[in-house]
Amino acid sequence: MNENIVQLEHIHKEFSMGKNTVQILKDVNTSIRRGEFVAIMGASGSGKSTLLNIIGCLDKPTEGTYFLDGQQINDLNDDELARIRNRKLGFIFQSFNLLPYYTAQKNVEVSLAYQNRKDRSLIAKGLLERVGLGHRLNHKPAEMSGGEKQRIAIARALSTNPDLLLADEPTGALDSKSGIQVMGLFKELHQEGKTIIMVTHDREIGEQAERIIMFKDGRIEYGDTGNHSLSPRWNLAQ
Amino acid sequence: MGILETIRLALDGIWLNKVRSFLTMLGIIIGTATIILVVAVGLGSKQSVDNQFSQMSVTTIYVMASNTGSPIPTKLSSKDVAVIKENCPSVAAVAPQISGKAAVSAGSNTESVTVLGVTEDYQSLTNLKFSSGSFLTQESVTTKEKIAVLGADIAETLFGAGQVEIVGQTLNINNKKFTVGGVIERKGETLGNTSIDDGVFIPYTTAQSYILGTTVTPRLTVQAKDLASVKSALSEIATALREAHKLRPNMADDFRVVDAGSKVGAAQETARTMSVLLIAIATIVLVVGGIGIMNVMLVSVRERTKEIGTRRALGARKKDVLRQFLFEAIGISMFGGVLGVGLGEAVIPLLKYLEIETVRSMQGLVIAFAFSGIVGVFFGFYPAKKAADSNPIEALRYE
Repeated sequence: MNENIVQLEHIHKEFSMGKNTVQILKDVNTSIRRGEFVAIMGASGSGKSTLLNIIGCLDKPTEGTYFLDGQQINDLNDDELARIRNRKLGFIFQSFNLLPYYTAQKNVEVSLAYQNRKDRSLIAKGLLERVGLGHRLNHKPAEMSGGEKQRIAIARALSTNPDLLLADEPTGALDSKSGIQVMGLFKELHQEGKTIIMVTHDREIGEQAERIIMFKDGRIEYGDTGNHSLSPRWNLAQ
Repeated sequence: MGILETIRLALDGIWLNKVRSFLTMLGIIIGTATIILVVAVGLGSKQSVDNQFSQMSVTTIYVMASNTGSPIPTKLSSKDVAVIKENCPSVAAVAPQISGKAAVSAGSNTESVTVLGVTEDYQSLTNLKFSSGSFLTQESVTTKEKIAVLGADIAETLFGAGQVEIVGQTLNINNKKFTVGGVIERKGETLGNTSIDDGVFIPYTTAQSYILGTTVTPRLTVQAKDLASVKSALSEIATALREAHKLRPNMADDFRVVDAGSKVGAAQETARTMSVLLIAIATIVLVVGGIGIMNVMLVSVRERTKEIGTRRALGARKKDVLRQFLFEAIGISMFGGVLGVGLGEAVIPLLKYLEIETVRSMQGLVIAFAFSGIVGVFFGFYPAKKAADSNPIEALRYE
């Protein structure tokens, strides 16, 4: 098991916009240790969401190397990336991204369905109880408040017992009371040892994390603890 | 995700959009029902053609008076039987036949029926079989015997169903007493405008002398030696008759020569043309139905962009997404296929009322199902591929 769950080395990301190429990420180097609760902050367009997409194996860097739990991600094909997203990562979105025609319980089961897990209804019920929605298993998202929807989404993210939770503006669509509830859950999960990476532009939210990585114009402005190393500490045999 | 799991997901998708799914299915339902009907009607018409001609030898040739083109009355007569027999080496047998309506009565039943004057050769030429008694003999023809052989239907009409011994009973034809010599086994089919089941057969000479008179133009039934000699027989007959009737080269034939083989061929050709036409229509309907599926699936993929992005983020592979949408399309078209087959099968009995011959067949079911499945795969693939290939990041952002 690697101490650094995420290791990013010289990550560059370019997008071509017509004739121009726009550099979104310029030489990003950082690492995130297992069990850390990190907030990535910065103004919109600073590249923080792009970085989260790369960490989440939804996007690939133009240049640079990304190790997730010691595994180099760059060379993996689409199916292998899907498998990693399914097994190792848990996603929490700003707009919840629940499937509208499924009940809360069914929504939590989606990731497990891709693993063909037979015990998924049991796991889903347990997790919904844990986030305080044990009484609303059979309600559809449209019948729920924003805070409840986000708690379903968190239960879904936890369903596969992932190594890393990735949250993109998790409180962005919530009122402050629900936001506090969600952050409370995050802190609980952190205390239990989960690694959480959260993107936010809200300083008050970001400050509740253990560490803040501040982004500006595609570079890390501060918050990189400098414990990443160009001479890799990870062991490929693991 | 396993295949079964994905199929369940696809069925969910169909069920959650019941109305839309059903409307999408309509094209397929109509297309499959059409195929079922097409195959049933096609086989039915093929069968009725086969039935109609199964008793008839393809080496049979008919010689009839021409009803068009000739300003002078035809000279076709029973004398031509001898002419053909003598001059046509490709011909095996010739029999004349005259027919007309006559009042036939037995007991209190009187019917107006077609009476046919024939010779003893007529039996072998038309492959008649007998349920009782036997056909006219050469003797009965030469002696102008008043004997009658009855078709199955007319025998039943005159003597009633369930009558065991009809042979030997008497009946009156135009008030002349005849003895029944035999009853022909039911053929069920008509030959031109003469139904054998409704016919009363009497000796040719008797018909001329007592019933129909000598002015009626006969029709000749000719048997060619074999299939290969049919063609030469046709030309030999034409040449012999033109000579016998003393027609000048610039005059049209006063007779018509038709071979049964070409009649069968023409009838089969007609049946086949009809089948091809109907299959073309069914295919067009199915293709239009398929385009409908593609359309709806494309809209559905667009509507569910965010779902696709979410599923991809949660671990769906491209092929999971592809399968989900492809199975949905196939599911819609297969359900449509099932309903269409049901509809088609339900309509088949109604066609009986329109006197359209139909034959139910496994073949129709298989073709209909296969077609609906193929349509689903073919027209579902593009939308499903589009869903699978959508960029997950953009899909997640889609509102």
